[in-house]
Amino acid sequence: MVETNADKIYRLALRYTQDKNQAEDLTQETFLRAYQNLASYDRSKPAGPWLCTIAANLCRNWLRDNRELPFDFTEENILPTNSGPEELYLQQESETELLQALEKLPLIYREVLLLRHVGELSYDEIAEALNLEMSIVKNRLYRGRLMLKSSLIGIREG
Amino acid sequence: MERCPDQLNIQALADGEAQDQQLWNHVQRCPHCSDQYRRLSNLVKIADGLKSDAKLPASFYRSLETKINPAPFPAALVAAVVFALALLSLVLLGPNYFEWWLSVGITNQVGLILDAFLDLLAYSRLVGPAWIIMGLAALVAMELFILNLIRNAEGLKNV
Repeated sequence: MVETNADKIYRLALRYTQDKNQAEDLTQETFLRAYQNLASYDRSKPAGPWLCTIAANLCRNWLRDNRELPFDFTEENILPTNSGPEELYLQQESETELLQALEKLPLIYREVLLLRHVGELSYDEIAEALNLEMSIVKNRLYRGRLMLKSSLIGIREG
Repeated sequence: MERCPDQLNIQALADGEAQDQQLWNHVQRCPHCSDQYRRLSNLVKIADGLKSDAKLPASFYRSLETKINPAPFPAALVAAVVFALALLSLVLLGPNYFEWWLSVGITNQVGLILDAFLDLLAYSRLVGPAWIIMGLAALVAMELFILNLIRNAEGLKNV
């Protein structure tokens, strides 16, 4: 379980915290919690989503304790969705800019994006991990992606 | 005219989460939905940039292993605690106790206690330090009790 999932959990924590040492500590804490709660793990399911849930909870707590909450996006801040080829251009953005853009997103959107794109969880698994309705997950994923793009453009334009 | 699906359903297609063939057929036929699908797929690709190939250092696994399976409680420390308890019992039972104890020799009962002590040390890898200390304290208490019984039976004076 550790060998298969450790790097993925580390990457998730790294994206949440953007700090290697903290990410390593949170990864370790995730596996220690998992070890202590093995009895509650349903062995018929893959361990990855279960571990991602533990990691996401730990990371959320860490963010709450260690970081200021990012500013809230308003409807006006979200760019219209028919921007055409600019998405293709934005795909060329550097990882640093993408992470800066991510940092500006409210946590509720950031975590669905991270669980989806870094944790590689399905809609169902994200809904279970965050204890949300499926429709809310889809909505947050949609809005989160738009916000990420909007934030990227903001960074690009200085 | 066929009604267009909402964006969230098209997003599910772009995410590979929807298996609805009818929906897929519609998206392929309808220019508006086809455009939406392309746009949403591009958003997915942007967010895919969050993926990372970072790897944990090798030391992580050793550190985790140590935390999950902590090192066994040091036997030397256990022995020191037992010695301290035995010493304390000597002081508590009086100045002649040590000479008496030597004169009694190692009886069967004491032999059993020593066996139990050695077994406890051997199995100490499997239990926590608190249980080891408690077990040893119980053994020492038993030893004192048995020796006291022997002492009384032999009618030792001035102890």
